[in-house]
Amino acid sequence: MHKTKRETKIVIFVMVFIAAVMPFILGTKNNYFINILISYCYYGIMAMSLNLLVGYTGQISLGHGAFMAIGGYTYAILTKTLGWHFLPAIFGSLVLTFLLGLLIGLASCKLHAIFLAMTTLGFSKVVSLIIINEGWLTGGANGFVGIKKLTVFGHRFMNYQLYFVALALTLMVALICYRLIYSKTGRAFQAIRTAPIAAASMGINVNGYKFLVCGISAAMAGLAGCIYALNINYLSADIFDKSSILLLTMTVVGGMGSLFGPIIGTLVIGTLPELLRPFAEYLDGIYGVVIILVVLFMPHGIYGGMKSLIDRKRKSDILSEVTP
Amino acid sequence: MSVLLQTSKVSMHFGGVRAVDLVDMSINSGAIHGLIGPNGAGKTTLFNIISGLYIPTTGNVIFEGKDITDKKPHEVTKLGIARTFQNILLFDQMSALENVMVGHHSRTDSTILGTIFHTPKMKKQEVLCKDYALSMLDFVGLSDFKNNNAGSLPYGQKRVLEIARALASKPKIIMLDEPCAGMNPSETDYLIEIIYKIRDFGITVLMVEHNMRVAMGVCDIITVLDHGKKIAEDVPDIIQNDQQVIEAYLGKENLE
Repeated sequence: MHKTKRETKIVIFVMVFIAAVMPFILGTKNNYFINILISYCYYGIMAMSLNLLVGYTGQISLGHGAFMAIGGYTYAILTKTLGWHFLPAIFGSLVLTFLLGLLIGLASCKLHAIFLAMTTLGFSKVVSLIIINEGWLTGGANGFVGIKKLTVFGHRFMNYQLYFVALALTLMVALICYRLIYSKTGRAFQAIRTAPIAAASMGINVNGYKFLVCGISAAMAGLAGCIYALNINYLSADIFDKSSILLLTMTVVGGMGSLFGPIIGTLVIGTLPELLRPFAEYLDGIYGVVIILVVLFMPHGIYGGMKSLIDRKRKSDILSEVTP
Repeated sequence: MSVLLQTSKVSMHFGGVRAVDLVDMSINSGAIHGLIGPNGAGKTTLFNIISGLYIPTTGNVIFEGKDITDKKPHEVTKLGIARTFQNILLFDQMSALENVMVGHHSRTDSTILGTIFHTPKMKKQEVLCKDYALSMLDFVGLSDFKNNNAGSLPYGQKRVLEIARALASKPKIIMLDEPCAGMNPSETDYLIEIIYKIRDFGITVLMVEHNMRVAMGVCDIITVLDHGKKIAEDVPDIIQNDQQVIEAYLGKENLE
């Protein structure tokens, strides 16, 4: 069994505590900050789902925003057009994104890195084209308007209450990721990323695991889409189209192949647009510069960079103790 | 002795190249079986066919009386055939212990849902898996390095770790692809010791080896391949004096 270090547990506890008290510090009525906090939640889920796929299993997806879009739109259509209750609607969009993820999984069994990346990019373009052209279902280029706020037993959720729901879901996804990674399954994922041939010869069903991880990752993205729909109450294809690269930036900058990496990446990259409001038109360029800098100076992301700094400090501490 | 693994008339053609050509080979259970031949003789190709990475153009691979020709690599491993690689293929970012735990993959039956819901069964399996991996690391003498990253280990230990990983799948036969390549004499002696230990453990060994001191000293029986064809199969003493084998390695004597 994997044992979590005591320091790590304390860090997690502090982070969750800060996340929980944040709305009360910033003010529960302050919709601007609450929306940013909720955006951390859905982007965090997306980054974790991408991390599972790209960071651990080595299957590159350039169109992960498409699954978020499918999740969001499915939720919107099921609740508004068909009048479903929100729970079955979320469940429905999870199932749909899971199945479509398996479809990409089929491709990932056949294709190598760069070709899979192209396929997923194509998939996301197809999804956004369908959304724009099938106006009767999705609202077309005008977007899907009037998604209902979360309402349970007649109680309409305030924005900060929705934040707690989103936070709980994010923590649940984090727990699932944690359990997947530190288990037989996670070891199989990592084995497939490093040496697929050796993995197959060790008794790992390589194609089976690739297939499954695509489904799981897509379903997580679908969940993020549901939260997005609940929060913004409005969906349009171009937001998701843009977000695929943004999400990859978060995952790479935070540190792929580690559990904390995507969370750090989300907090950093998710905050950038708010800090750089005056320079909004240069935002994509700034993302590019950030990616290049991180890849050059911290190949394992911010998390990896911090870790190696701490390790180096520990080593020098030990050395200074040994040498008088 | 009974036959454990058999290839019958196995051929592998890559375009016009006959990498393996109608090779018949049977490996008795409990033996240390050597596979030698000059470079490009088709030894590794034969390994890849047996382990399921290639499906042969013609012929069959029979393991314990069952035809496993079309089986996928992970199914072959589950049946009890493990292997190492000529160009070491370890999972570099994982620790030595985790590498060996991956080797045990096919012997644990916890599912992906089990890991998500953390069922007691899955927890128990994880503990058993770790214990088994530790015992395998102990078996090859790498216990002290269990938490080191596989990628950071020195070359010789990487080779040994690959063997431990293969052993963790509880094989009936282990195929070693040039286990002594690039090793110094003392490391080679240590490896020979491990190979004997594996045999005494009741696991049949099939090994490709270029180091003739090792091949002739360790193997009970040796198959010689040249240009994809089997040219000899016998005990080491006879192989050493076989005219065809000498020709394959040294070239034909030009009498004119």
